[in-house]
Amino acid sequence: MITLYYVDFYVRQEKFEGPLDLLLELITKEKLAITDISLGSVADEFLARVKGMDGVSQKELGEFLVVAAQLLLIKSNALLPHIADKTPEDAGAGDLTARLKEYQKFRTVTAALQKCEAGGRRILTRVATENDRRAFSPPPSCLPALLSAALTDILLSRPERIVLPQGVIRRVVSLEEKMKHVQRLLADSLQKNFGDIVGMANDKMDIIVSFLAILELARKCAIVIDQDRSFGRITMGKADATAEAI
Amino acid sequence: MPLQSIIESLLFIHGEPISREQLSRITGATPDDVDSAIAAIRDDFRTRGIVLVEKDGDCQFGTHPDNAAAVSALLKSELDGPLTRASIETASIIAYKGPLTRASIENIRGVNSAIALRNLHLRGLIKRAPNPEDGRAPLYQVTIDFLKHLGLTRIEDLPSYDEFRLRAGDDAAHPQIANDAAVTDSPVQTV
Repeated sequence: MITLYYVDFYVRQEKFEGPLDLLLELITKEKLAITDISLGSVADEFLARVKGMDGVSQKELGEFLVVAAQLLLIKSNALLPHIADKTPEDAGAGDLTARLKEYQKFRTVTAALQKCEAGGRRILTRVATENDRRAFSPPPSCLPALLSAALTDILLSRPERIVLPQGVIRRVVSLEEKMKHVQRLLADSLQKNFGDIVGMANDKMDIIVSFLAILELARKCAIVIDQDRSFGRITMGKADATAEAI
Repeated sequence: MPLQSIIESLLFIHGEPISREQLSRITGATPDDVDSAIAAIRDDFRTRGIVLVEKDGDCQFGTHPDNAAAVSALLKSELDGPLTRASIETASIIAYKGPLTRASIENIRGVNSAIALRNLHLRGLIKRAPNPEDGRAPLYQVTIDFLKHLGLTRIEDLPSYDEFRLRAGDDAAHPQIANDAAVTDSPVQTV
């Protein structure tokens, strides 16, 4: 008999195995039967529990959210029966009641089987069987040279490690943010030139966005741009209060 | 020697599960004769230190579940630890409703069951079988080792098994239940 030493990586902080488990627990706690009405009545508590979940993976959380959505649908249908949603999702809500009933049966059985297992009444079978007699019987062609060639083949056929290029996603400055920023700067002082505004830019992208923001503000008449002579310094100022509504 | 005696010898020496077809082939007896010999063995060994474990037509001799402590003391082998609730829950769905796909299991549990399935598989308590309807979704079923792990000699010994099967309406898939109904009042399996 081979004893398997395995590690159970199934670490969880919640004591629930899943959304159905939690739902069943809430309904049992209230001593309710599994019906659409009882499901609707525990919807709020279900949501509160899901909100309070920490350290649950997004995938697991998704499973809870699917059930939460079904509960909300059931509850809204109960509250507003005259405009109850009769789309196929409604069938899904009825489905939740049936699924929960079935899950409850298996939870009962699971408890019985756990008791069964805890009883330690295992059946063991013969350890050394006829089939376990093993011998090393290499074919005549199995010579050191062949083994060496086979090993070389294996080593050569090892897949090469592929290094994927990595990039860092940079923070994006939105045009809207920049426009507000420029307006704030101009609100404080009477006039500024382009250099004043882009002077604090970190990189090229920032300068481009600043430039676009200024153009857009000028188009909306939120700022006034002035240049006294060709190639002169371009100055910007706050527009009249009348044009400031963006 | 009578067929029953021959089959007892074969089961003893083989140790591992052996199919009824194989027994029929080796002994040259008809499948019906093998069936009745096996039924006789099941009855005769009911009160002995050896029990006959059966699953899907496979048979195997095992030690009586009540003697588990003494047997494991002799083998000096640590028995595998208990299964997690997730694993038992998953295994129970497979035992009562199997063979079924992973998607059907997860629909009942409402949660991803890949890890539980992997653990059960590692311990040899479940196995995969090809799905004639969809090659990409294998069917899961419990193994003879699953029964032994719980100290059961037959799948029908699972709590409320017949009730589950009848409600599921697929008792026709297990005609064996009807055949063996006469001998299910086993005093050995009072878990």
